[in-house]
Amino acid sequence: MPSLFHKNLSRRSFLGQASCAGVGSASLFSTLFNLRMSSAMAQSMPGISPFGDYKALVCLFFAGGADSNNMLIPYGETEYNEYKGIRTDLALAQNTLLPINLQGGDGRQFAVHPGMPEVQQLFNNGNLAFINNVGTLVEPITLQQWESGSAKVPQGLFSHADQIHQWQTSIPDQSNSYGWAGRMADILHSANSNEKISMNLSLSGNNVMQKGRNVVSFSIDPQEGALGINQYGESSEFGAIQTSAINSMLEQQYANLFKQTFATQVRSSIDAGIELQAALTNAPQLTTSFSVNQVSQSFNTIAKSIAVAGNLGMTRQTYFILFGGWDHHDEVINAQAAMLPIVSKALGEFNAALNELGLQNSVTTFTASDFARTLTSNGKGSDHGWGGSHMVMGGAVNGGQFFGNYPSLYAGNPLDTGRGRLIPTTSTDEYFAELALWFGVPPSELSHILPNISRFYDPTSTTLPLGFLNLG
Amino acid sequence: MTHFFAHPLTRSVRYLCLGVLLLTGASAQNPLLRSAIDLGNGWYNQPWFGNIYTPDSTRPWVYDTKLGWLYVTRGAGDDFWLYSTQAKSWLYTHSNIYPYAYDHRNGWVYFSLSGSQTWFYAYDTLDWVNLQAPPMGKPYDKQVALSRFLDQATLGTNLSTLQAATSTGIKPWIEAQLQLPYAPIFNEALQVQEQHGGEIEAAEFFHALWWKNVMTQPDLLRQRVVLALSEIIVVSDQPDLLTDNGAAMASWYDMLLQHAFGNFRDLLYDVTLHPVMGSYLSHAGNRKADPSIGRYPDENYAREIMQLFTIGLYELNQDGSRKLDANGQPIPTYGNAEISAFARVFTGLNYDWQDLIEEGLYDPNTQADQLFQMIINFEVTNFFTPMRTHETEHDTGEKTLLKGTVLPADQTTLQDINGAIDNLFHHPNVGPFIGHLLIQRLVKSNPSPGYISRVAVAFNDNGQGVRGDMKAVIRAIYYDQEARNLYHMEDPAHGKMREPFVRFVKLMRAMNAADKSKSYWRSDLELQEDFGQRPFSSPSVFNFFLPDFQPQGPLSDQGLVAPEFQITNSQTIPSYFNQFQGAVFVGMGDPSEFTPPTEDEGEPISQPIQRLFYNPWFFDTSDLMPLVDNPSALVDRLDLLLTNGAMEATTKATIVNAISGIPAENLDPAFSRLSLAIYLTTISPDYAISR
Repeated sequence: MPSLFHKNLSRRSFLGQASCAGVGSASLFSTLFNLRMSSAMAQSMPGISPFGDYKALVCLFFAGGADSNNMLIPYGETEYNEYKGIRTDLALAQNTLLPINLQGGDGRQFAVHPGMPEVQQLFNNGNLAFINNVGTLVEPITLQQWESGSAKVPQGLFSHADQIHQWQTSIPDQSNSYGWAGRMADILHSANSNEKISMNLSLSGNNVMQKGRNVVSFSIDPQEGALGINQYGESSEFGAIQTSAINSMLEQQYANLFKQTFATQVRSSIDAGIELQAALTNAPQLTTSFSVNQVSQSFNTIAKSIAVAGNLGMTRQTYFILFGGWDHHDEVINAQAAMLPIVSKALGEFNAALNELGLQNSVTTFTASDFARTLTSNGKGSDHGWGGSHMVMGGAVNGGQFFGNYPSLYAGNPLDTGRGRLIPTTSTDEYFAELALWFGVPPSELSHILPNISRFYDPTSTTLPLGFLNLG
Repeated sequence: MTHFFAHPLTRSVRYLCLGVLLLTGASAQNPLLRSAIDLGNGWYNQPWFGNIYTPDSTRPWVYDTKLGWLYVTRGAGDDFWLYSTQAKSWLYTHSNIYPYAYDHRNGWVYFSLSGSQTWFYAYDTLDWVNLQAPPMGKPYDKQVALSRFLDQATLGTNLSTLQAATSTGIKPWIEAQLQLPYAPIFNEALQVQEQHGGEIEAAEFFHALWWKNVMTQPDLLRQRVVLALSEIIVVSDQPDLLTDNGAAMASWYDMLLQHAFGNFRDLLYDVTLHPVMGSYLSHAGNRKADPSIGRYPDENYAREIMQLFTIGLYELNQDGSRKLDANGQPIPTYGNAEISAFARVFTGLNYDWQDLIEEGLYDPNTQADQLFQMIINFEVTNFFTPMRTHETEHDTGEKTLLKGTVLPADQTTLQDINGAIDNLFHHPNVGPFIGHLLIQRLVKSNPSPGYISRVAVAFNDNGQGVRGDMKAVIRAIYYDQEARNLYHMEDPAHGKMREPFVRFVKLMRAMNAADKSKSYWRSDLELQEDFGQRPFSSPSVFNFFLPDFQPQGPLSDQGLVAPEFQITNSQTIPSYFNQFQGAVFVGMGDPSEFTPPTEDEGEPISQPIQRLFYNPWFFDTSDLMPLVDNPSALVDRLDLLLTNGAMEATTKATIVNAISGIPAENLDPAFSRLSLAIYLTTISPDYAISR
């Protein structure tokens, strides 16, 4: 078994360090990549990485299943009427919509929600693109296969917990506790010379997407950054006694696995927090101002963190923001009128901050959600659906375009499994594969991060899965 | 045998026994040898007792193959007091009852020889113990066993509750708790909301009244079970409508209190009709389909009552494992067809509008549609009485539910709902599904299939042919060897993380904490922010954490789950430390030095607001203060109270070392030692994890 070979070559044995060692499911690439980095660092050459540049991926996750049918809306007369026909009381008035200048396309015209002027502008300026009818898929499936049950479908389809999970693992046919960005960090963590601070930073606590076998995400507070224990490490009487007692408790080996897991988490949380907070305190002042809400503040903290990433020896980072409250079985119109402007503003602010830092080409922001919602109404709102539209933003994005076909919306269309729950025509695998390739994952390693990718895309192909990113 | 167990020894008898031990110079034959058969070489066979050895038949000491060296004295007849060096306790027994005996520290026990090992069953703690190799390598300690039990069965106890339960034993304690009434809080919540609802989100009053109940009411077991139920059948006050309606939340909480020891079917029925659930999962105002305008029934409640409250996504065996089809794949319990059918069942319910009829605002015969519109616009939201049915909005078509059960056409809303709830309640998944979730909330994260199965059996039949009897389920959970046996403390995979909020309540209860006015009100908004948790404020219907969450590291590697770790991260960890630092140092303060403010920047503070936000809680540490000069005894006591006998020797040494390191010139060494010892205990891995 090659895995034994990997284990023996892992950094755990090489440097005698337990943290971040590339063992277990890691591929040969991972082992060699990290071993090379280890050798470099063992020879006191910090800062060397196989990547000569800095890149970050930022995920904005709409928890609850955002109704993207009212975020990106058909605008031309024919297609708007089709939309209005099926959405009935959930349809937005045509004259309130903000039209966008779509490059390419099939002649249909589109608009965004009236509360998203920044997104309209970002799209028109070529900084933002839409990925359409994307969702969890085990394999490509037609309506006929759906009806006859002859193709596999995601486990727990239409269920929040399962779909939130699968959008983060991209393995909808199996239970898996690791996320695709976690697996990516398992392979690439040595791109960062910093051992203490995780490649994956979360503004919203623990999540599946950033959880790897060896890399754990690090949570920071959207307002205060990395938090610390009061008086830990201080020389006051209490500070000194407390610090020594905490250190002593965390040094112990605990036979009980729960205790050991807890002790390990506390230790790494304290150490990383101290270092990260020190760096954040020295972050440059941005002239871009951010709104006071949690989403904008999260982007603000991410901008600061990205600005100091170089000082911390980080060349690759992922960030995760969870924005909840999208399960609009009722009040979808009013609730989205309040929530989509928050999203739009935050994206506009973040884009401005990255421009200010000169890092707009190094950061790609993308959205995700459990699922989109039924096109039809339940009289108050919409119910759980499947495929939907998402946004990608950044200097590397081929903006002003659609990737993945925007579906027809009429009832009984060839993707409609009932009530306007649409079969996705683009899989999360294709969506994330392109992000991973941009991030620096070699095509040969793609299937370690996205095990089902070959059902949708040939990793040896010379073209990208969807083409929304510019790798050059 | 039972009559023997009803007579606990009095303290005076115990002192008498100790006195006997001190007597020396016995010269008559050892009474245990009377009528024994002499086997030679100092060995005897006592027919009712077994083989014993003594080098001198006139001495009081004998060696027994089960109990080790015994000091023997005789009672009035054929009864004996034996001091066992192996058990380190006095045993009372009689030729008629042995191998039953009364252990002066552990209550009634039963001895059993297995190979060369002797096991005893302790009736008070429902625990099998190896006499030669007791758990944790220490003499069996009934008080530790009770402390560990109360950790699972309550939200925390003080020393006197522990002592009382120790003298009672587990079964009588549970049985007494199952009989206790509960204290509803709705009336008080409504009153304070009507008077002060404009000053703060009214749900804060509900949380304060929850604290008061938890801190002052004697129904400790019910409070614990209700918290567990509130995390399985989840309603949260996060949506605005409920944030502003603490009385609604109180009504929901009272309903959980009412049914916690009742029948699961009744609970499910009342949950379905409760307006707070109707609001939270949006089936209040759910209308039958009108395809002409593209309207279909809301599927929210239909989906979650199946996925989360009763049967889960996959067909289960009785032991909680998934059934597999011919291809080795799990078998879904339902598909979209069943979701759609249940969604149609739950049409026609809406908030109680009786008031409107009485006030002449609405005529149910002519204004049905108008009323629904008013309700949908939140002009009518009666959260206090069960939802009413509105038959013209109910889908009266035939509906095919789970396992092919058909609800005939033309039934009323409640006929359909009763049929649907029966359909779910009788699904074989409910026992293992709900049993597993309750075990995870109360005892351990990774129960064995056997444990789940035993609880499921109790759910399926309480022994008298009744399904869904919560009392039977609770007994099955707590009486099980997997919960009770102290050896499980030594299993690296045993245990669970104590929910951070429960850790806070546990400290408050252990320290007899109270505000100066003994209102037992407090705000827990800050706790929610720091811990990512407070009761009835979950971010979604999926609770604060998922039952199958796996934290990275050795637990994941072994395929084990640890749900509570889902809210443990580099943000909540330091916040937790800081919250406890504050709570302990404030708690150790002197209430006589505190005067609650009556105004804030010139604005008067009403009493409820004062109780919520300007109301520090102080500890009563009179039991602990006498121990501060003996760090080791102090830490042992904190171990008993807070870590339930599971504190590692290394943690104890760390805390003893820390409090011994407080300089002599410290202004108040007693205060400093005690506060530091409590704080360090509460942040230790031993307190975070229950095992």
